[in-house]
Amino acid sequence: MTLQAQASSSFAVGIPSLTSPLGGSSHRLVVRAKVEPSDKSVEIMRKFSEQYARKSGTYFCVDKGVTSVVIKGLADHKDSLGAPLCPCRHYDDKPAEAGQGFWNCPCVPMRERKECHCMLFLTPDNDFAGKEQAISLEEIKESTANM
Amino acid sequence: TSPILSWHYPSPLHFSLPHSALRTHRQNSLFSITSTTKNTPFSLSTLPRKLLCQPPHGKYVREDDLAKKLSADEVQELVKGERNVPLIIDFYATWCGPCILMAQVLEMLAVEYENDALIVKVDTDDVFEFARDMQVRGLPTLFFICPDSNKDAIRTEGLIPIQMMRDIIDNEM
Repeated sequence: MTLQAQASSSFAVGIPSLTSPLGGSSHRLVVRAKVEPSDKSVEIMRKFSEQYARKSGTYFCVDKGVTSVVIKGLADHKDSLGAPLCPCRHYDDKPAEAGQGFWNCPCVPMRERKECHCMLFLTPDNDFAGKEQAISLEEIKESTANM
Repeated sequence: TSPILSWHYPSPLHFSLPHSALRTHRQNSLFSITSTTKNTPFSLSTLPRKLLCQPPHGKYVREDDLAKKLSADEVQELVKGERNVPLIIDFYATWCGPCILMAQVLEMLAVEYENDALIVKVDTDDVFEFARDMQVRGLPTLFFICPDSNKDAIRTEGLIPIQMMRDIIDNEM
């Protein structure tokens, strides 16, 4: 609860997530701090995820925390690179990859074979697949509040 | 010298093919293991169900974690040095969802193996050069490194069942 209050108060200060180093929130959170994606990008990627899940006939993970984290990862890359590069990969050159496009969500493996190793879009036969194709902004915020 | 790497389990990997269908198929096969081995011991049945149903705390790293997070220097030193037990390195990224599930599984593994295995995790953004040298691509990636430096290391990509990890440690290390 305390963490959440601190996090929300730091947003209220109005430090843009892109430019604030770790920001005012970070030194109270334990871990090494990463910049939070902007609310706008999170909302965009949230909507995209819902639409694409419906369109592709895939479902979110039973554990919506996984979904939330990936959506935030996509938003973070959208903020920093201009494109939602897959957050579940390591890249030698992120801007180049974002420009090239293979791993921009929805990535080629997903578009061609419905393979999403981020576990964002899961085919119904996948053990981790839930029954939902929707996720609210609140769910995302709650699941990632301690990050 | 860095350990010799080879794809050992479950199928061969060619490092020289970037973004290849081969790599993606391998990732798919790692996932499809879950659907084809419903009756065999697998993480969903061996993990308490509530682990998956609760929203995760979302933290990869807690002070009381058994699997410690290392810096670039620390992990390089560890890999270069000697050890008596298998070393497991977990490469993760901040916003990688499956990496959180992997971290939970690794904690269980750390409890099971105690001092018989050394499990550490590294943020690929922090250990950029090390991740590049180890040719890390998909996340999470695990490296299982033998105490015997003559043996090849084993590498896995994606969320793998805990039983597979036990098998690697028990049989391959």
